[in-house]
Amino acid sequence: MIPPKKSITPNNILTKEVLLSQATSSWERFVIKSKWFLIKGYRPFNIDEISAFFSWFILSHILWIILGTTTFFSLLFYGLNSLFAKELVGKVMGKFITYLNPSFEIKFKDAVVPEWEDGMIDFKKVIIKTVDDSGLKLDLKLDHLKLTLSFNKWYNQKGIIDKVEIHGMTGIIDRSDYLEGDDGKNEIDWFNNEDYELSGLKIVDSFFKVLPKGFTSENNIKPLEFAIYSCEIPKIRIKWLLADFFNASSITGSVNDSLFAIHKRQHKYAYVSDIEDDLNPWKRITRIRLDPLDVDVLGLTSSQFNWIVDGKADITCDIMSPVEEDDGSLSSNYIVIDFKIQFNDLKAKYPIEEPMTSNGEKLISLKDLKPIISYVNNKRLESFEKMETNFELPSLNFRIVKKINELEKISTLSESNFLDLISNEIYIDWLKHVHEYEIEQRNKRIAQWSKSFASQLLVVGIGAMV
Amino acid sequence: MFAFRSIRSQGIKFPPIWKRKFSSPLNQAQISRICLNQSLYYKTRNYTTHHKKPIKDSIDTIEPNTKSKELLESNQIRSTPPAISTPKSRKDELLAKTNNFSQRLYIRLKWILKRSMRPFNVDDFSAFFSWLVMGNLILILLGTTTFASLIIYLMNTVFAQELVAQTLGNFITKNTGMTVIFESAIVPGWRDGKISFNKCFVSKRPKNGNKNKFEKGSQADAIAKAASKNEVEDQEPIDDGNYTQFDLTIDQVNISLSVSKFVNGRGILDEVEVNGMRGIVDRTHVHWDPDDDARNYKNIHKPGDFEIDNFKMNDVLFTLAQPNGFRPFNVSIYNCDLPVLRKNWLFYDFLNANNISGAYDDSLFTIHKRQRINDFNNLEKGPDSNDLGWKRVTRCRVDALNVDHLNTGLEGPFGWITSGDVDMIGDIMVPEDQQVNMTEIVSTIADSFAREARRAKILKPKKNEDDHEDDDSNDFSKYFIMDLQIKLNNVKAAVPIFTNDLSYVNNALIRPIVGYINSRKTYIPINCRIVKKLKDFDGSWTVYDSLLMDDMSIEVYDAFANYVANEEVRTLRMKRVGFWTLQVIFQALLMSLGAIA
Repeated sequence: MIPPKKSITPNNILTKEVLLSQATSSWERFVIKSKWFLIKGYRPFNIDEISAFFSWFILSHILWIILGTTTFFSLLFYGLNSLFAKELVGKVMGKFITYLNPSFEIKFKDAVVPEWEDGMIDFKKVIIKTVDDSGLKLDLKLDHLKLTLSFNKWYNQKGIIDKVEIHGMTGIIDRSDYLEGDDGKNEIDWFNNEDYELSGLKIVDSFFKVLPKGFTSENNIKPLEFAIYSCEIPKIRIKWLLADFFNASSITGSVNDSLFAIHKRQHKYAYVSDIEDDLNPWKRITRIRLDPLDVDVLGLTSSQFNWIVDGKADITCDIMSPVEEDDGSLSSNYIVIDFKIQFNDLKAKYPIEEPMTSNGEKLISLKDLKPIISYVNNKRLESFEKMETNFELPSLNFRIVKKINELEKISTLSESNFLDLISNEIYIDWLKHVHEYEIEQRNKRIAQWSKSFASQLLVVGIGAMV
Repeated sequence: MFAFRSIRSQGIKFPPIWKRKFSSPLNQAQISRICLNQSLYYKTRNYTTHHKKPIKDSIDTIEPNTKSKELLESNQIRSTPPAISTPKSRKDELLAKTNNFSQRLYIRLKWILKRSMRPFNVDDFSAFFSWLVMGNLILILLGTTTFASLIIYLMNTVFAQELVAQTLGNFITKNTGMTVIFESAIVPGWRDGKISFNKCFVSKRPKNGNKNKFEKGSQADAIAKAASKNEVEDQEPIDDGNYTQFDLTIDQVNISLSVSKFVNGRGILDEVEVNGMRGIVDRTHVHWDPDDDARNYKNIHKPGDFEIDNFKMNDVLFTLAQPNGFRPFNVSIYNCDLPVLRKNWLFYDFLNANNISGAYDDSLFTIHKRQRINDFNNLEKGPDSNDLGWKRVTRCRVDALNVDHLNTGLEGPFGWITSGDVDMIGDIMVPEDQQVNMTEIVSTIADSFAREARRAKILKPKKNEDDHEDDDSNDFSKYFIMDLQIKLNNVKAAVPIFTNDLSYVNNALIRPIVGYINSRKTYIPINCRIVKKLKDFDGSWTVYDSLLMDDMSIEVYDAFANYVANEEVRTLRMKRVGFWTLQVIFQALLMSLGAIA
């Protein structure tokens, strides 16, 4: 270690005072003071110092980018906007975002440059289309797209977009060409970056049509018409799309014109002294309510329920999913869902084949199915005889439990084997109902028989007396 | 590290500035000089020597740009004789003379305020006073919430919490006529600039005169008391309780206050957020005189009626007990977001919500803002094709509502329905700005006048209703226009027994309508457009006193009458066609018989 030559000379302390006293203009004084502050001397800067300043300058900018990505970008847009023509900036912006998310093509309809509003970058009239032909086709128009960006996230491979707000979206999500691969390829593979994560999604006043798999204009598969009035999801990870969707703080909307709502389940008790903790071990129970919806829309006329012709179902379910503790671990490894399904106006016919799960396993034998079908049809007849205007079957209640790990990389209900689990439970609960119904019927018959027997006995008795 | 070494090997002096200070050796003379300065420095500040830091420490922490300056200053004080003329030195002089803390504080304060030591005169005092007053006023005006929370916070910590809770509770109780109880006094936490109250109990029940006092207590106690109160009440009915009574517990209320609003007579509340409300709203005691009109109970606007700017509710669930022995049912609101909530326009503001979702007697309902005329047909046409010239603003929707909520105590076809459920979609609209379709709007409003005339027959005009109306019938902003789609599912109707006051209803049509309703197995759709004067919503609380319910009934009746007329024409045609076919077949049969014979 060689001590540097420029050491503090004893008269260094006085030099500043001397220089200041000699200075005449305020500018000179400013230069002296700032130089003193920076290098504690009054000599020209050397290369070391200039490079230090330079690196400090760059570093501070990087810091700024990291800390306030949204602010940085919006100022950048503002600067660009004042320098160049609006159309150009719009185009460049679109290209840039397309570059960040290569699966999308993003256009700005009126080439309006984003504005900065409540700390979010606000794009108006945006068109989003998918570029590649991986089966999923998007064609969406958005009135407003608001974003916040985060460098920190991008750095952690979680995508640059932090929060998203969507206002007034219309469009078509076309999955008709999507063919399920035999190799168990999930829809998540469509995304390039599986670690993509949003820390907030808000959708307001949006409508879109989903064309399901195998949809053509000829066959009678109905497209799903989704309307989302308001939707708030605190966290979305592409890897855990379905699980995060179940944890939405609130969603209201309609599917094929039936209202649905996802919200925190309400307990009826007043909020007195942490009653919530006493009620259940789950921190939050999410309730999904779905108003009567045609069974074919729900997928209840597929191979699992090939004997149901027509009808409606009313579904309520409570989802209890594990919460993340403070140390990042999960409170439990299972997701528990309670179901209540009420079928209305159900029509049934004998199927040719046995009901199967999606992977070809037999759910129930035709012999066991027979009583269920006759039960449904008998109930229908009964309600018709009673002149009831609508025909409701008793509701089915059951619970399904699933390992949370199995939901990884699952983005749609059909990919998870929920439907198989559910249909299995439905059959079990239904058989129970049928059994009870049969006992009831038998009791009735016995009562009837004993009545008629007694009356016959009476008649015979009277005849004998005479 | 590698980079460092390589640079150094090239002979460039790299060590940064901060390193020099430590690596440069201080010679003995320097140290002694600094020590001398240090001791002098402390002496002039009248510190005793044992207060100063160890010398070595002070050497390490010397920073030439700050401390050395002070050292220099103290040096100067010592070397140059104190000049009386400069005020700076006078202050130092005075400071040097004093020897206790309070005196020094006093001198410094005076120096800041006056730059001298002479006593304050009247001018100074008035200046201070006005500064104080003005400063506080500015604080109040600029940040009422901050001010109030500061006061509450200070009082809460300094005085007994009981007192604060009592005072605040009394204040609210007196101003609103409600009993308000906070658990554990009040805990205003600053959540995003709002004052928040935890665990509140709000109640409005008949009280004896002397009982009109705020009580502080735990929420649980209050609930227990409210539960047991009813029995006591029956014995001494002092207040007849002919109003909506309620007992509600609230987990958290966040409010922000604004004085500029208060000064303008719009209430002191600025923004309100309610989380986790439970309880009962009891309307069983409400009764009307036979000739009474719901409109008599409308709010009459007076200054100080609240006008909340941003009203939010989350997780609300209460039991609503309606009068006349109607079964109690649950109303829950999952979330609610209103841009404005005014006491005088309560019902109207709820209709114009940004977003409300909830369940009314277990039927989902939503109210939300929207931009498009039609949700799905526009996908093909593009969102810009607005063929009507109307802009839909808010959509209210109720699914599968039990029909008895609509028809208890109501005349007209709704009242004849005995069972079934109703889906309703109401679109509140305003004319499109750019292309005002004048003819349509005018005809719509003219149409509505005809119905208005019919309604006027049944509803006696309110006494103090001003007569000079309709002179601004072309001002569309004064109208409330709503497209209503009603779907009656699985309904059954019965002919009313008492038909003496069948107001707008043509007596002859009752039976056909009831017959029509019963003949429909599945559902009956009704589409209509309601045009109302905005004035009807002035001060209205419910769907009844705004007369919206009456308008709906009239429209439903009209729709039914139309249906029945169509049905009769159709059945007549069917009969004729049926008879004709029968004739043809019969003739053919006869002919063939003739051929056989």
